[in-house]
Amino acid sequence: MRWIALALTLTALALPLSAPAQEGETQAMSPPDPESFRPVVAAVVDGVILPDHAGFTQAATGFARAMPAFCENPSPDDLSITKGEFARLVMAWSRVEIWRMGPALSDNRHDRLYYWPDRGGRGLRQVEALLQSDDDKATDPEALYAGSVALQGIPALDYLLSGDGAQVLTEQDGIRRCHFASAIAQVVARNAEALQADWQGPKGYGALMRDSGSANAVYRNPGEAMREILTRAAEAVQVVRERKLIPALGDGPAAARPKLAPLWRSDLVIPAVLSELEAVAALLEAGRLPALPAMGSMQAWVSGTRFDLRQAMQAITRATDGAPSWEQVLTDPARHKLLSYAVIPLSSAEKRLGFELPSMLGMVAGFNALDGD
Amino acid sequence: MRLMGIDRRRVMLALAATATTGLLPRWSHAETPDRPVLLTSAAQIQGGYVAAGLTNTGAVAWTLALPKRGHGGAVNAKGDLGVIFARRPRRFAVAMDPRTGRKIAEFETPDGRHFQGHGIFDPQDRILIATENAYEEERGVLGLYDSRDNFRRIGEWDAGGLDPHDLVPIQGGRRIAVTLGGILTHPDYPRAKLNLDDMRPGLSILDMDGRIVSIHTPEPQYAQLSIRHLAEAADGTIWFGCQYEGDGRDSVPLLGVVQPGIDGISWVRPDRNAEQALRQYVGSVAACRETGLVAISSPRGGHCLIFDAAGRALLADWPVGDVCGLAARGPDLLASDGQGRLWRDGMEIANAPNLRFDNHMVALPV
Repeated sequence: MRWIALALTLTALALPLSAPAQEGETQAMSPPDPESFRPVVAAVVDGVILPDHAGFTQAATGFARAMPAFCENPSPDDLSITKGEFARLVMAWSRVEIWRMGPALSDNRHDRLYYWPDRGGRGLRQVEALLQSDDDKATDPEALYAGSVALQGIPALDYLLSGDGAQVLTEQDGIRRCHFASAIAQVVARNAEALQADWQGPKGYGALMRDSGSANAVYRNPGEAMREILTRAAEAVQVVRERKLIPALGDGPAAARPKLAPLWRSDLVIPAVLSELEAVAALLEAGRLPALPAMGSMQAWVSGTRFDLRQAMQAITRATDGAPSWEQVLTDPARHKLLSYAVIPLSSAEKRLGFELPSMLGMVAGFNALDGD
Repeated sequence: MRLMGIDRRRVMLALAATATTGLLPRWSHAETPDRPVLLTSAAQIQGGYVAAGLTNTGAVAWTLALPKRGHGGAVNAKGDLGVIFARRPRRFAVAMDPRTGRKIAEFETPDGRHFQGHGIFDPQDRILIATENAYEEERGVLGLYDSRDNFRRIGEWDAGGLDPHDLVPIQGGRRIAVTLGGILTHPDYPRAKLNLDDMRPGLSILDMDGRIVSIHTPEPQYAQLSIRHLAEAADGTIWFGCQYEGDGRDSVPLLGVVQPGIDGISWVRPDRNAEQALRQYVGSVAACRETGLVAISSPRGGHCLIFDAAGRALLADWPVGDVCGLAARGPDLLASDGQGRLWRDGMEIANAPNLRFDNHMVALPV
């Protein structure tokens, strides 16, 4: 399976093994000056966030070119190539998915690009109904953009390319389905470009994070921007654990619910999850947190977080290695157990990123601030 | 503490005792120092979650283990029955004697519903009214539990919209005001917000028989303002705090006022600096009847803002890191934070180093 290769590639990128830090190591450390986070924030923005958004735009525009070309010549070989482009789109999206803030919330871009969870199949029913109708909206990117967020994003593409009835894509009967997917691809590219543009430039969100200060409407100092980064990282790990893995795992192999995970139709659940976790791990690299002055035992703590992420990615990879499908991973007792094991280090990584690390860095990320109600 | 505006005299009078008496209790001379006056939920540093009773000096009088993380609570008018609700999407609630921490009952929502974290007792001090998510039906309801029958669930009312969260009795207990967060959630995906593109927040007012009297909704441009917590001010106005689900760069109001009997919402906009300090997130609201003050907290911004309810003016800004819990008791405004500290009128009065106080506190009757 293609995702096994992707998973192995990601695992090869995993960070060096090191022992997690002990909690007591942090007690005597005095928190650093918030200003010392300024280069860290800049490194994350310039080294991770902006390149990842550029990568997403590139993947989206690539897919937006591939889809209409495939519809012109819908051969099985070209379908395989097109699905490969879709997988690249998903992988690139998974790296930017964690930044659900500012530009992603503006104009509901996150939901436009990725309407998930689709609890109760509300969005899916809209896609099916529009596909079955003769409404021209299905093949009009402008009309799709102006309509429901459920009809214009990656989950809708997942259904059209790999869901029920997708075999018609290489047949004459599949032309409407193909053009529907092609129109969505154009909207995804449009939203990806808008998202990237909102991050870039002297007035972009990246600059807002870099140039924190008393006149900044969102970040009053670099510590607040740093806290946002850690909050997003913790939230990404939480989303993987709580929403993408645990609901699908259920109470055991017999009670597993594979369809609760995203992208199960295209069998991209695991590559997407690994890509997302890899993006979190990259933050610890780009941010060069251990190099901060007066960090004391910081390095050990960052290593511990990397260790957790690596453990989780290894467990996920082992659980899925050689499995014929996502459903098989969940229904095979041994694989189910291995995948369940991944949840434990993810829980630890989430705690470190969301609470312990911010506390060590002198940010009251706290209990209430991180996760109120 | 930062004071502002022209009405300094009033807030200074209200708070003067704090400055002169320091840590001394001053709620009531009849109260003994070890008597709990606040009910809250908390996380223990060593792990696990508890309900806790706090005295008027901020000491932890008792703790009671909870199965999982709690959220808000309710105390009856007599002060001998308290309840802590599970944090959503869990289904448990624990009842205790808030004076001693003695556990009285543990009960659950029925299948298909979970607690939203808040409740009140009816004016007869018998029926517990709790906000709930009827998640399969995608509907908000108020569950009714008979406290004299082991908290048997005896019925429910429609809340008037999705995501009912906090509620308070108003107009002397004749009616109830309920915040409607407007966000669709389902326990299959814990805490995931499923309809941010189509939110419909509001504030509903119900008679004590469950009849919906009015629903107040924000203008369309504020559809992503989730209305979450509220308090009734001394003049009968209902003050509510919001959590914005949109872009952090947007300038949106976070505090609104509803006048029962009058349509719509009046927004309270303090100066831009104060509003920005809230980080688009109000975690709790409390109103003090004796002083006419209203307090809001923002754990994300690390600030409490104090308003004069009558003039709707910002009077004070208390920077308190990770603050969230608020309660008014007698003339006092109390705040708690995620580091286990208790604050009175902007000054720290106690620290429970082994606890992190959770989002809300409820005052026991004076």
